[in-house]
Amino acid sequence: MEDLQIIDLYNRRDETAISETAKKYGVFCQSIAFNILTIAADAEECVNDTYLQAWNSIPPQQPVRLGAWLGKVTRNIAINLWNKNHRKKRYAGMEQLLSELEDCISSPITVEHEIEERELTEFLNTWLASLPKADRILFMRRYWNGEAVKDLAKEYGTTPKEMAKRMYRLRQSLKSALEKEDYSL
Amino acid sequence: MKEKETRKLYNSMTNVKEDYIEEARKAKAKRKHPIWIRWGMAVACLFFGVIAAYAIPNIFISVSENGDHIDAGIEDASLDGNPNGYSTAQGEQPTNDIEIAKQDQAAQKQETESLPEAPDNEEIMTVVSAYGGEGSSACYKSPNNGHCIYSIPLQKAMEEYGDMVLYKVVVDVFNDNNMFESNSEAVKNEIERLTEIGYTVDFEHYNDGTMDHYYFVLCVAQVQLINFAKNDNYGYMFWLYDERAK
Repeated sequence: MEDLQIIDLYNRRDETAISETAKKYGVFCQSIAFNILTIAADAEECVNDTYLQAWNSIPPQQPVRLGAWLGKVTRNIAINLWNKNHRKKRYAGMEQLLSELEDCISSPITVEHEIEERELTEFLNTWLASLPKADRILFMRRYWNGEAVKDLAKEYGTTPKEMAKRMYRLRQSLKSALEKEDYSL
Repeated sequence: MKEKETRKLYNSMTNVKEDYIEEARKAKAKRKHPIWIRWGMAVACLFFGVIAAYAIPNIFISVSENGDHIDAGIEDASLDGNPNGYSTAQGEQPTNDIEIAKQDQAAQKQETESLPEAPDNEEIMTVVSAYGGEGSSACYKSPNNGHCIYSIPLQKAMEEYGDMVLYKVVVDVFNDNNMFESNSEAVKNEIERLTEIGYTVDFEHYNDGTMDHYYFVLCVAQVQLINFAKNDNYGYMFWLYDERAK
C-alpha cells in the first residue's frame, strides 16, 4: 500500500492503518530499535509504542515521508528506553555505537563554544551533504540505522576490518569538521 | 568523560534530513562477489566463450534463415523515432509502408491478445540481463497509459544482440503516470494475465534486512518486447534486470 493511502487510513481513524504500517515498515522499525537495544522484547515494545505514537499524532501531523518519520519516532523511543534502563540492563548496541562516536569528540581545550543540539543537527545536515553519496549512506546505515559493521562489510564485499577503517575515516572527517568550526559538544 | 557529549551527538542525529534517512533505508549496495566467485565466473565465461566459438557458425546459419525477422525487429525500433525509448503506442502516425504493415501486425496481435512469437529456435539461448556503457544513469519520464518505454541500456542491448538472445527485464507498471508497487494487486493481475498468454514471468522477492523488495521479471525475446501485449490502461517501463534489481 502507498504511504498516502496509509496516512489516509490514519486520517479516517481506521485501525487497519496500524496493520498496514506494520506490514510495510515493521521490519525497518524493528531493526532500528533492535540495533540500539539488542533485546528483542524491548525492541518490540519500542515498535508498538511507535505505532501508538503514529496513531495519536496522525492527524494532525501528515508526514511527507512516512518511513523516515516512523524511523525517527522509533529511534527516539529506543534512545529514551536506553536512557531509562541502561544502568539496569546491558544494551550492547547503543553502547557500541557511542563508544565509536567518542572518536568525534574534541578535547575541550581546542574549542570555542558549546553547540546546542538543534544547531548540531543543522551542522550534521551540512556535513552529510558534503560527503559523497556512498559515504553518506554508509555513515547513516551505521550510526542512524545501527547496522553492524560485519553485515555492511558482507554486503559491500569487503572485510569487517576494511569496513571499520572506512568508518574510522568518516568519524575523523566529522571530528575535523567540528574542530574547523570550533564547536564543542 | 565524553559520554554526555557522545550521547548528544548521537541524539542530534535523529532529526537529520529525512532525505538522508530515506536514502539509507532504501540503499542496497551492489554486492561484490568474493574472489573465488569472481574467478569462478571468469572461468565460466572462458568456457562459454570456447563453446560459443564452436556454436557461432550455427548461429549465423540461423540468422540468415531468419534474417528478415531480425532486421524487422531492429527497423521497427529505429523507425519509432523516440530518443527516450521505443514507444510502441497505438495511434502514432506511421512514417512509411513498412511501419504501417508492422503496426497493423502488432495491432492484430494485441486484439487477439496473443503472445508475439519468440524466434523459432529450439537451441538454448543466451540471456542478457546487463549492458554496460552509456545511459546507465539516465532519467526517464513515466510512461503514459498504453505506452512502453525501454531503458537506454536495454535499447543498446537490443540493437547489438537483436533476436539472437533473450532479455531478462524488470517491468514497472504505471497507471496515469503513477507507478504501482511491484507487490500490488494490479501488478499481480498483470503477471497472471501475461503468464496465461505464454510470457515467461517471474516474481522475485528480496529482503535486504530492513525491507522487502519485489520485482516483476520477464525473460523474453526482442520481438516480444517490441510487440509487448500491453494493457491499454497501463504504461510500462522496461529495465535490464541488473539496472533495477541489483
